[in-house]
Amino acid sequence: MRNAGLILALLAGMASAVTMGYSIDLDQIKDRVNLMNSISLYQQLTSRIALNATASFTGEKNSDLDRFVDGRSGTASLTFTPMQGIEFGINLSRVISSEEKNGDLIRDRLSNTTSGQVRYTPYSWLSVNMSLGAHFVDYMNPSGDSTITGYDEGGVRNVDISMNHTLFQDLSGSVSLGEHRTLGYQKNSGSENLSLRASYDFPRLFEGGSLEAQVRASKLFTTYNDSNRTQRQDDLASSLALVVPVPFENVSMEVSTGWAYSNRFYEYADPDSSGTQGDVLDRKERSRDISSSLRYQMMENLKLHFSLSRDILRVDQKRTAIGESELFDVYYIDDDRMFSATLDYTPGDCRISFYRAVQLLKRDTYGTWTEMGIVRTDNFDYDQTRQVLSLSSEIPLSSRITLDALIQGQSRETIYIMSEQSGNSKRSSTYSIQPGFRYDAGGNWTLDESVQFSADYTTFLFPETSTAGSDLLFRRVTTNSSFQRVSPDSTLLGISHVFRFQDQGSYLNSVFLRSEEVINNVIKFNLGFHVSSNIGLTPSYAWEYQQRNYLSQTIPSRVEHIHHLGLRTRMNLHNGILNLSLTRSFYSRDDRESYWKASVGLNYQF
Amino acid sequence: MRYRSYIVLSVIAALAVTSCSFFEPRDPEDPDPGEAIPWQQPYSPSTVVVNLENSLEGRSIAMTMACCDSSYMFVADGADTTDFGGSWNFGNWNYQVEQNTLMNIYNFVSGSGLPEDSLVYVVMNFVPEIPDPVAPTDSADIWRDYEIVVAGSDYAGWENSARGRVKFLMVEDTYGLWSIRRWFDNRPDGYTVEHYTWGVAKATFR
Repeated sequence: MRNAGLILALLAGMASAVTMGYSIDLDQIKDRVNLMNSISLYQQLTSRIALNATASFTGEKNSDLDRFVDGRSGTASLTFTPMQGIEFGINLSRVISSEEKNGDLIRDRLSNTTSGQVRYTPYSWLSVNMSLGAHFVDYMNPSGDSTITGYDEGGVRNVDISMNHTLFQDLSGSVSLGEHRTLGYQKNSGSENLSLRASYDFPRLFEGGSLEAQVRASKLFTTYNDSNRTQRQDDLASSLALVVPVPFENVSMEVSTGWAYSNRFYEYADPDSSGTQGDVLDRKERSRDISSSLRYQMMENLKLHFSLSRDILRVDQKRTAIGESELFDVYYIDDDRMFSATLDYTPGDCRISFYRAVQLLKRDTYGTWTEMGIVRTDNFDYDQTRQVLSLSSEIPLSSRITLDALIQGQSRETIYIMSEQSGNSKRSSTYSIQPGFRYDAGGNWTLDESVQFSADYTTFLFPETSTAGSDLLFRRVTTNSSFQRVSPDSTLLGISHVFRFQDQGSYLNSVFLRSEEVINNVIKFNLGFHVSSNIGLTPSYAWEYQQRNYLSQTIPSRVEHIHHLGLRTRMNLHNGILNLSLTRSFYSRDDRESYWKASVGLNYQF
Repeated sequence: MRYRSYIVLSVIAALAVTSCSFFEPRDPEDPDPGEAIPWQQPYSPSTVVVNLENSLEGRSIAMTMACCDSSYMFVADGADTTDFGGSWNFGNWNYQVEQNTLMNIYNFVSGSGLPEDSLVYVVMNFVPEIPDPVAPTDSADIWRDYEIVVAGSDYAGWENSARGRVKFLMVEDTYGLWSIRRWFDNRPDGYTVEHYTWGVAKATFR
């Protein structure tokens, strides 16, 4: 008893300020419920000893799939700093995950890791972090009538070194390297990485210019003791970015280029016929990219921005063939070219933007394989283009009225090159115009009104072979209206209305034959009020009307009336924030079940 | 006057760069007669399902992948990953993996020697108790009970077709076109090992 009293007295003496944080997020959409719950604690026990702990619980329940997935994790660390620059620590972590399906446990996994850690920081520019410990994994997978259980344990060691130093004036560099290992009876995994970076600011004669170079390399592996197969991955990457010294007044220009290589492959300890030729999961990716951008402040309120980029990616993989035991090498190359230009004109409080973009993505497939004596090749080479031209504006007519407008044209083209696929090559053009205005009625009341008209016209390059038939037309009108008062804490009072109408059909010889039309109409009343100065509640009711008419078929129209009841609040507590949003939706039809849409979030610092 | 000159010059420069042949697509080959696969612009989620059926049966990798969003993921049934995870890989099944797996399947059936219209057979039936949303915006959950045959395959042959229930998470892009972002594969009610799911059948070709 005396000892216990002494320990309590010691702990009470050590007790100092504890920083605690708690957060909970709960989301529900129809039959899926997600819960995230976490707590964190930090306490400086003495001037040299600190305690850190976190715990979290996540759960996902899916009623329609009859599935429940849960995960729990906890970490704790105790650090001791005997002198400046040296820190010793003990880390504990525990992770549990499981999954239930149709009431049965189908997966369960427990993982524990314990390690000791030394952090050595002799200088502000050098940091060495080493940890050594052990881990334990226990798992259970019921399979049919039997249950597969297993465990693994072994050592864990990690070393990370980082240096960040200014070598000369205007020249700085950083180096980081690390080695990580998790060993066990069943599985060993590890990684090594190295990263070098140097940046140089040009001298005053070339003011504004800079050069940055970066090289990265990493290796990953996973070996299984009951298999002769080892998974490996080697990654290499480099990049170079140049900010050109100011060539003219008000002009800035950047050019960057990069190269990356990634090779994922499987190695066999005892190569057999399949081991020597690789694996269907082998992937080798090589990419190069170059991009440039130019910004020109032409005048005080006139700004131009050009950017041009090109990425080339080659992906090598292996594939099987029927009746053949060997694997065949195939690859494809993607060539992605993109140009965009933006011109911003901002006279006074107005903003007018012109935007133009064009993109071409080309995919070419290479490689052949033999099947039943016939040489085959892939046939899905394609070119995709996308072009955008838009003009947007925001013009305040007075201190209360602001006009908005957007005019946009887009064109998308998909060309399948090979004869087997080319019949489906098509070109789509979308045109839209969206005028609107905003009226500030005072007292946080705002009237918003916008309408969008859009049309999508699709033509097939080979209409005589296309089974889609003639050209297609899709039209849509969307209106948004609202008259609402928004308080600083997002409490809403007012009414909003969204109406959408769309139809589609074939368009031939200037004749539009409609095949389907859809109407969607939502009227929502927000009845927000304040309970106190920092608590606002927004109850709401919305009526949604949906109708789909099948004009070219004898199927009867489908109509849905949905009533949404909601409650929303955001409360500023002393050291935290509570967000709540609940919506209950009811269908007018008896055969449709009502559903919840809810989210609750609480973040609190004690 | 000076403003107008700058603006006109900038617009001309932008238009000039984008009109050069650097962004010009190639000319396609003339299509093979009889090779075209029915395709409709996917202005609704249910059209995507119809396109997917036709593309799978037509064994067009380009058409099939055109039904999928670039962030597509195939999520196998948890019980399948438990029962068969030791034999096949169900993890990280993204757009690229799906494309490669389907290429292997199409390639496999092409060499089976069976009639062209019997190589891949796909039926996606409505689930009566979970009807499609009438007029969805942004995203939608679409449920189908499927039966898929890959002629000559071990887990989805004509004698043991793959069967299951799929929940598609469909998304709408800014042009009003729909595509599949997630394929949640599920064993059907009354699952028996005579009929595996599409996830298991596909995993053997990954």
